[in-house]
Amino acid sequence: MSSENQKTSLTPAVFHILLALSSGELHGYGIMKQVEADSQGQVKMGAGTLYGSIKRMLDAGLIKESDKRIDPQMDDERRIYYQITGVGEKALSDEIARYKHIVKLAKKLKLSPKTLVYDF
Amino acid sequence: MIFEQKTVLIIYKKLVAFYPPEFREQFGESMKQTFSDVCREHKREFHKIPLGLLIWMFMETSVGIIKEHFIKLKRGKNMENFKINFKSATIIGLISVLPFITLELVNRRTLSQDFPFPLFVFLWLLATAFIFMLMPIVQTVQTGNKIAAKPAVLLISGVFMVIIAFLWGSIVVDQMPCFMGVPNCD
Repeated sequence: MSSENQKTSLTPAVFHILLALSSGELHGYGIMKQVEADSQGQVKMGAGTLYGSIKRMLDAGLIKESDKRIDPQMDDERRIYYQITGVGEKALSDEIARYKHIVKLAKKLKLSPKTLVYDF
Repeated sequence: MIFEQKTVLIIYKKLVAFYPPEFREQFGESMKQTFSDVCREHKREFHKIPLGLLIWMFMETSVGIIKEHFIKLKRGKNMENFKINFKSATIIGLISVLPFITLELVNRRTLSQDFPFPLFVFLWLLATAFIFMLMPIVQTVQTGNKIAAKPAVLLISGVFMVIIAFLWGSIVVDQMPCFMGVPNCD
């Protein structure tokens, strides 16, 4: 995922992580919980997918490590926090615009989730 | 079924050790911490860590390990080396079979006789596999590294190479009369 092909759509994992981080800095487990909350329990991300995506997002400059600090709600271990970058915000807003366009198109075609059967 | 958090964390640590070294160094600790967080939260809320959740987390991480290795292989020099070695092995394998193809063509008893394509393809594949296994060993020696650095890999490669060499030699010896055009050979 290089900066020149940011125009292409984001993977669902990357999209959800960016969405979770758009509201503030989070550590790994915080991102997992936020993704689950944002998707109303529809998206459950494990550590393998989460850190694999984080690695590629760091490489692409979509997110960056902010600092290491203690989460008062968890234990006393220091955790790495991640934050969204300008490139990440742009990619997220492009993706949302793409979704808006699709929803608009679906409305125009009078399609609704009830009339479609999705097979992922 | 109730699982001790400490025990599953030890097993998870062992699993994380299978990630590529760079990935493990960068995210290994965070992954263990996140796994521990998930277990702790479930234990706090439900007083147990469900088996289904554990299986899912272990499976998900295992898939991640395979994915990271594949990405590393795809991006890194390994894939480049793999492609070069495979190409070279294919060519060398073909060259090793060419003399026997030539003998077969020169000594054919009749032109209408079927050419034994399957035999030569099989010989070619065996030779390719042998060279493909031999090349990394030769490259390791050439670069001055110890070939015994990975003894298990070396042993497995060695056993396979001996089997392939024996099979290849046996076929060639068995089929030599046919290559030489001896009548009634099989």
